[in-house]
Amino acid sequence: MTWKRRVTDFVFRPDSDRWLSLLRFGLGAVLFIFLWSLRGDWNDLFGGSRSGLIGRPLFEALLSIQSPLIPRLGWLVALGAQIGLSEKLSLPLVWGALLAAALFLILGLYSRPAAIVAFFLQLAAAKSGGLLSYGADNLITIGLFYLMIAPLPDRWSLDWALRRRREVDPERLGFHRRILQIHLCFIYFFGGLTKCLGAGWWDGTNLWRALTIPPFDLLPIGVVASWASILPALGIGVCLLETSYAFLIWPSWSRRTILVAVCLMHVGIGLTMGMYLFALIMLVLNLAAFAPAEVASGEKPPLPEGQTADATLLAGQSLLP
Amino acid sequence: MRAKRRDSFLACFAAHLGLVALVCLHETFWLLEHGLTVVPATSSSVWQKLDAVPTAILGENLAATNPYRRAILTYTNATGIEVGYGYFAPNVPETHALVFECHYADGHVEYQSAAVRSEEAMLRLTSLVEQIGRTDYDRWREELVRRLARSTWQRHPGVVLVRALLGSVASPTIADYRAGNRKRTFKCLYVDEFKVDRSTGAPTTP
Repeated sequence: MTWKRRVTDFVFRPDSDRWLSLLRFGLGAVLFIFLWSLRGDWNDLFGGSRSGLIGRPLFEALLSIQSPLIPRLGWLVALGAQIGLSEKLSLPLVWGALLAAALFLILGLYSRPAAIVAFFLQLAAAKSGGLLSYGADNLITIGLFYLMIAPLPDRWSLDWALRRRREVDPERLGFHRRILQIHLCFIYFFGGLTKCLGAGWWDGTNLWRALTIPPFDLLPIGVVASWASILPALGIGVCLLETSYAFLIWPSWSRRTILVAVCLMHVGIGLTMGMYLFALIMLVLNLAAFAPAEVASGEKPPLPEGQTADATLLAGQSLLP
Repeated sequence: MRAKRRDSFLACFAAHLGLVALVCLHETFWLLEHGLTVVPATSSSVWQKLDAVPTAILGENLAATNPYRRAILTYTNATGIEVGYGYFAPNVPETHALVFECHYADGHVEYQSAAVRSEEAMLRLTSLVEQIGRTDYDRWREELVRRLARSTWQRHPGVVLVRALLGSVASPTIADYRAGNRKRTFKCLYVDEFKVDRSTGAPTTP
């Protein structure tokens, strides 16, 4: 088998659309939580020079230096001004449109347009937020980008029930899932590698700091101190888990262990540091990328063309991605 | 799927993930080059040479208006891949805090911080204060602090002078905590003073 054939077989491995259902529903839910939690702060975070916390135009001016083509809320506010809407009205309208897109994604109604609208508006908010944005925003953008270009609608969407579409090519579904899987491997490998390069991850100092500095100090410092003896082991565990994820998530013997461990790590981050949004988006991306198809649906994913289940098992291949 | 279509998908796949890898490599080499890791600083020149590859491909040495650089930046920003994933790495630094000393016309003084309503917005505000604390560019820091001072003044209209105190906050280490030292310390790094201009409603440097 030539290298190109091997690569093609790996990249275009047929898959069902269950992962896509999970991604669509999960991203819709994450977006909804993101918007609901910011409902009282939306105008302060994204308001103009006089009304906002910092003033959106400052961050948008910096964005323009990078590229004038990166979407931003300023475009929508300017558009609103053309039809006589003030910024005070335009910004809540953007919030409402994004919330509607999130609800449509959860239901799977007009999945593709909802994914495009959600991607564009979330990206505009993340970019106009400038220094007020953090890692979770980028990860939501990544998820929405992959959702937007994926072959929607999936079979668990209302779109499918109301307007039955033709079956999507399983190879295409597999291709889109593969991008997400490899991207996650990059995220964990480089995240783990940079942690391994910091001395504080080997002696527990970094975990101590992460759990005791505000605003991540949800746990009383006394509780964290009572864990002091296991912090070095936990820190090393995080480094090893993240770095090895890219390698151990693929073999069938280690996949479930690594997936469960990484999900537990994110649940832990959410509960002990209050980074709920970050934890949720990582859980959604991980489950969409690597959760076994039968976990989501009770079905087995389609096999490569001309291959039977027995042949696949005989060849020592896993049915899972 | 047809072979031609497959090939074009494969090319997009390689280009997109290639950019993800380059951005991550660039960030990692940068950390190594600047001696921010356990790797000895003597190897800095090696990392600098290695970093030249992603830097060149990402067009970071080109002029800000260069079309290639802008195209790369537009794509990476639009797909959320413009930064690496070294969260809380290589080390978790001390955090920063920004406190406003608000002076009222009657002479009394109150201490305030920039306020938001939700925990999610607080995480964003923390991210902002962190970056203000880490910047080496005084005018940029002062401008951001001035804007936060203005939003504080808007919530407290009686204020006539705002003194912004930006500093690092150190939590006790494990050893400190065991020795009975359980208090956080605030080390003031910068003090900026703003007088409220009644005509424009904006804080200005006196």
